Amino acid sequence: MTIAIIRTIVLYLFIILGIRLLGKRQIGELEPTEFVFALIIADLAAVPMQDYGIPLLAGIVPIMTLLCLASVISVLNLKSVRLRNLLDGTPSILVENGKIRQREMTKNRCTVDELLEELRLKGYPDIGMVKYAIWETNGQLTVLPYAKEQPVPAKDLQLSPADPTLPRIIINDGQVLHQTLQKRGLDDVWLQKQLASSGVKSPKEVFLMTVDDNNQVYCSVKETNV
Amino acid sequence: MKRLWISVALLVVMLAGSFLNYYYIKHICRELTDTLSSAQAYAQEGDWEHSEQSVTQARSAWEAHEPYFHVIFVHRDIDQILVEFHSLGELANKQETGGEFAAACAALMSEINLLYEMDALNLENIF
Repeated sequence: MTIAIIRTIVLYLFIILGIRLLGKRQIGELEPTEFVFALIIADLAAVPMQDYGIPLLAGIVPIMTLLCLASVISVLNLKSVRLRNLLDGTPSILVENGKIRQREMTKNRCTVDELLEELRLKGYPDIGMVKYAIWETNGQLTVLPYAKEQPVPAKDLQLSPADPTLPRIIINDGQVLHQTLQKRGLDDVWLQKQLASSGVKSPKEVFLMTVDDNNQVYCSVKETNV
Repeated sequence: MKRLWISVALLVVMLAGSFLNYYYIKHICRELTDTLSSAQAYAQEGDWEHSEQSVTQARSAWEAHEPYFHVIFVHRDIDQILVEFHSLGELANKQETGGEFAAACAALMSEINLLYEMDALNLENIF
């Protein structure tokens, strides 16, 4: 059993390394090269993890090779457009100027139902609202509606609303993040005041407290029965 | 670019390591089969004492390299070869003359040879 634990830890760390290499993308947003990598890496690790008779190296060496290949391909993809097009493909314009490009749909094996479903998911129930629909290489659909269907920006309405600021967490599940507090130029005295104004005695009673650049505070008190 | 070169370097190191490993394993296996061949030759001449000595020598050499083999090869194959070494030693000890020793020796040699042959760079192994 000890062997199983150690082997699992080693292989798990290797998979984590591989997934970290993929970056912050979600599985559904992977490019073909990354998708293949994600598919293979888990299977490679699973076999030596379950079968003690297979040397650990039989899992580690292919994973290492894949990691190196993925790394090489990702760097080369950045450098060469031609290689990027070859490995990851190019986006396909499925709707152009409101017209469905049927040849492009067939080429991508995309049915009308799938297209309409994707459009509905993007908030366009009527295809007549769409000027361009582009099937990206990661399988996502980008939709550009006609100008008349787009939301009106504030500037067009002669309005000048305040720019949003980024709220930062200062209390996370009862723990005060002093570093964030200091970065914002605030101190414990200020924090105590905010807690008091929220009717709280201790930071431990707070589930979430954030403060933005205008020192606007959001406070969510912990529920007692959670 | 640093990431690219590190990855390429790692790939080259792994490839070089696999080649070195292949030649190292081949060298060990050749030594083992040579010793077993001489054991076979001694047995054919009826010199069972030297034959048994050669088998013991080959088994000791095998056992000395066993931890390394366990890291590289499927454990079942390695254990099987050790079992066969033991039975070969027994056959040499009992001075089996009915060709049983020669057959067991030949089987063991071919199993040892298979260890490095499956890592040889050829189309047969790739596909």
